[in-house]
Amino acid sequence: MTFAERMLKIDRRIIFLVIGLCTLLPLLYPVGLPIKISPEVRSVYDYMEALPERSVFLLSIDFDPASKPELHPQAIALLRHAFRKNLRVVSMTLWVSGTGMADQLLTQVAKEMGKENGKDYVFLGWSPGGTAVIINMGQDLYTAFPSDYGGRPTKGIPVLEGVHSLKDVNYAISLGAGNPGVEAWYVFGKDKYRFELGGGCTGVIAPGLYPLLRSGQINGLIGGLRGAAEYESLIGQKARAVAGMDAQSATHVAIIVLVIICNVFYFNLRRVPRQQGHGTS
Amino acid sequence: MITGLLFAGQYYVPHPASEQLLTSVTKWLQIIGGFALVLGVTSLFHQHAVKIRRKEAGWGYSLVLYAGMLGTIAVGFWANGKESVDGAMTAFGWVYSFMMVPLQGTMFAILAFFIASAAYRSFRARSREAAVLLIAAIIVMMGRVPLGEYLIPLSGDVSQWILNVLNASVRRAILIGVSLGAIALSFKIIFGVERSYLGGGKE
Repeated sequence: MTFAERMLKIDRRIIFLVIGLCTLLPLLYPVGLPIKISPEVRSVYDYMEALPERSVFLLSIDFDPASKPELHPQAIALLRHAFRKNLRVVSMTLWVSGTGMADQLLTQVAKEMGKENGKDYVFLGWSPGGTAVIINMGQDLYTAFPSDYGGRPTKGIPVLEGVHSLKDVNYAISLGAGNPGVEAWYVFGKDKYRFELGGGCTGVIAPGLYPLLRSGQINGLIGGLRGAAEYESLIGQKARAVAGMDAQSATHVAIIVLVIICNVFYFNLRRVPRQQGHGTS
Repeated sequence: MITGLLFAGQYYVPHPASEQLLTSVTKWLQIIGGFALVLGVTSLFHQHAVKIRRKEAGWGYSLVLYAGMLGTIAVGFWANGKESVDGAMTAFGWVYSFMMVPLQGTMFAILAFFIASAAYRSFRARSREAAVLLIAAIIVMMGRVPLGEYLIPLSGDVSQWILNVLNASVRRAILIGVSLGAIALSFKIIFGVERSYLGGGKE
């Protein structure tokens, strides 16, 4: 077996070790490379920034703990920005497995920013029906969610004063890790009830949402951990996402190097039989 | 057929009566959604019960699923569906925070390792098309991280162009195709041409 063949059949545990080290070391020894802000993340930030105080901001936390590393920092940065701007935050989820996590993160950020449940924010929780919940909210918010996550009747909650349906929402953002997510909010929500919509998603589904972005169906997109890091930089509160960017940088470069090495050995192997063929003829 | 056509048309009629109809129907959809959940759980239990009874390959996993689901349902009812009461974590909250969250996180995190290993073994420029894909992937991967932009400053802009122009146009073409297919399928269902979704095999 030649060296190239041996390298192509390298024990995968060595690759796991390289990736493990590339993730761990930058987290222990951060470098803090500058993060360039993309136009799609800036659009979300600018829109939030332009909203007047006490505007209604709907954050739909449409992910479960599996996507927490990428979408949790996005949610935290958006909530910090919304609370700092004194917006009325209405939060919910379309993913039943994300309910507890969504409640925890909203409570945590609200506490940090000194906001009061019911007065400054409300967590509506989860309601069955998938995308039908969006249409129902568009028709009548109180039918879709007769009570909030804590069991309190939604009618009469101060933060929802003057809010009857999605038509009364000034800006909505869906942080989606799949379906139902950003696309569902556009198809069943924004298209009919005419509110402005932004999106946040995991890195792997971001390319699929670019057509919505380019056509103006969503006004901005926060993609993956990189998007979260950009948003943290914009609000001036660098946190987990910015810290994670060094690890992501190292792993991306490691994978690129591995792919290049594998191709070098692959072409080397292809070249050898050809040369042998020429030699024998 | 009547319901299908009625609600396809309802979208274009903003009359209060039409809106009221939509409100009532979506309320019903939510109720049906709730029952569908019960149906789904029952079906899952049934499927795994059969596996355990017949001692099929991997029946032990079905037993774990039973234990996990019944245990979670029991503590969920016990805690009245609440993860915390007055700031104190309930048993249901404990199951969620210390079992479900780390397990799901671990499953997702493991992907990074397998993706790296799979990329090393299979991401090869075997043809011209594969070479184009490989180069585009490397540029986008470089352009999406600060280190990549630092090493090759142009990678950020090129990656943005690939995503905004090449990717968006191809995705849009796929989306239009899929949407036209969905419309055609919807009409087939509404007019009763397509009935396979009702279950059962070919007659």
